[in-house]
Amino acid sequence: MTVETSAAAPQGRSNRYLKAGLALTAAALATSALGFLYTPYSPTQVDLVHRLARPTLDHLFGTDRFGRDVLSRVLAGGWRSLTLGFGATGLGLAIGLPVALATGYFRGAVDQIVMRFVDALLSIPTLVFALLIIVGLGPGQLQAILALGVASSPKFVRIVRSAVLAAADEDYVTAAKARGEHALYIQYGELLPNVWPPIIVEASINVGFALMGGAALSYLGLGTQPPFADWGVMINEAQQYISVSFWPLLGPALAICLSIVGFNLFGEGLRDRLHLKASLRDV
Amino acid sequence: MGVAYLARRLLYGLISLLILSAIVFALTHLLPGDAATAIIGENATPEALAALRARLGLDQPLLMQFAGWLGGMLTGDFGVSTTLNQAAGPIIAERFFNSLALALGTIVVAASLAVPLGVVAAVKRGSRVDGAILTASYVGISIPDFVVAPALIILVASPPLDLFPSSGFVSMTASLGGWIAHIILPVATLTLVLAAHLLRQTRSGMLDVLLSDYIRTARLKGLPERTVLWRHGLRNGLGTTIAVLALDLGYLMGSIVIVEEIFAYPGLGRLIVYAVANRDIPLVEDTALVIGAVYVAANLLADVAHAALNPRMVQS
Repeated sequence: MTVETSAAAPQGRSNRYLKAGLALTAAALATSALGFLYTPYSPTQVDLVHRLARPTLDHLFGTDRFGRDVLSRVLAGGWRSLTLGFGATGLGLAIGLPVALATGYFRGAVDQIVMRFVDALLSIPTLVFALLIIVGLGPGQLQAILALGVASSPKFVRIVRSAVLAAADEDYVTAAKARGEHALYIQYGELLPNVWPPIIVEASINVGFALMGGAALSYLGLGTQPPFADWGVMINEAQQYISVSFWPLLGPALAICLSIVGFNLFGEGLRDRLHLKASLRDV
Repeated sequence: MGVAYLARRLLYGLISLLILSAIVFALTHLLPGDAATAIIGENATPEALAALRARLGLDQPLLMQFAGWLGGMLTGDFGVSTTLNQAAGPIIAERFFNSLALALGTIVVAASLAVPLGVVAAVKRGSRVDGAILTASYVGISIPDFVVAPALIILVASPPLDLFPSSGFVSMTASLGGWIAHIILPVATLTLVLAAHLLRQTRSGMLDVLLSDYIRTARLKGLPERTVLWRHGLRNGLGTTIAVLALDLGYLMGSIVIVEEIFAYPGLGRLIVYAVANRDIPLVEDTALVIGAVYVAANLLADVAHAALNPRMVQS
């Protein structure tokens, strides 16, 4: 089922979305890269005298329950959070793309069976699916990436397959078949270059959601493990002291919200720009 | 009409659940670490592990274990929680109703906010009102539940306002007022998350209808705009909204996991987090499957409602 028409998505809006999205994602990436190289304080430097302090010029986002500088921790934790988002999306694509290309190209009984599995997997939330995998793998950042990546692959299968199905009857595919090209060549050499636009859009939006899912796992104590911190861990730690001070919450909350908005806007702007239609299932 | 169609949908739903149960079982049994190691730890002697596996039936062939688990679920025997040492069925039933209250409350509040706004945005597409509604919903989608919840706690559940308890639960039978007070913040959090999503979907669904041929035909016939909108537009747009609501239930169940954990609300979401953190494998399997069943049932109900509203759809 498709919804949005290009008539409803004026070019001006899509450009604004695209620009704002690019700016925010660039900021998120730059912040994380900076945090890798430099932080104002050591992100683990304890200062018990200045615990849960409100923002000052010395500590722009205040300090946490151990007096650690929140800004430094947000900077240092950035790459862990972004790695979750990009890693899970990459893995989801790596699993989903070949499956979707093969089933969409060959169709038939295998396609039917695979799609029944995909439907079954889509009936539990991505986060619950990820939890099921964590049971076996145990908590940790790498485990969270694996779990979220596998858990988001059914969504990619569905989206990419519908794009493949739409393209599979085009003349260039028929021509390639008539030339006697190998099925793998047709899938990766002919179909893939033509179904890229929706894949990039969905992947971008999914980075935002995986970022959220990864932070959620960390928040639940199942992702990045202390003493290392990503934004989800920081939000969890800050929330425990919320009745004393809410300042430590501000830094990581802003960082994750702005990053998610960025990836969403970028994907959505790109979708409008490319005149693609939104699917009912996603946002 | 309809019966064959609905029977087919029911069959698909059941097949979906069967496949899901097989996947859930496979994930929890084939990945490293089974229930026995989860109970007595990885450093236990091989003899102790073997004895425990025999007691739990884990030495049986996998297919037998799967059939036993599934057969038990169908007859109401959900197995035994390995960390609570209680039958899992009653625990899950209680948590299920708590989560259901949360989900239904959220759906009612979110739908009554989001559907009218979505329709307005669609009707006034491209206008400032549309832009404002879309932007607001955008922000709503991008703020994670685990940020919304603490923000709400800071705003209304801390001094100076301190209107509601920020965590915990009171059963409906013990104190209706207490139950409502404890459920308000979780519902509010879930509503903010869901309403934004639902609004965008309603807007898109309505746009689809408003730009369709039969609406153009109705306009060309010279019907007043109000009649076009109410009689032709909403009736068809509503079907989409119902389908979206059912799909969104899956989205909601994901959020419920986080929101219940934040507010210490004893529902299915908190149960599965507990079960995963403590590696209570029977409880993990049961809860995941119940969550899947809720989703399948909701989509089935949506299909029924859709078929009733719009009989022509059924034939296609």
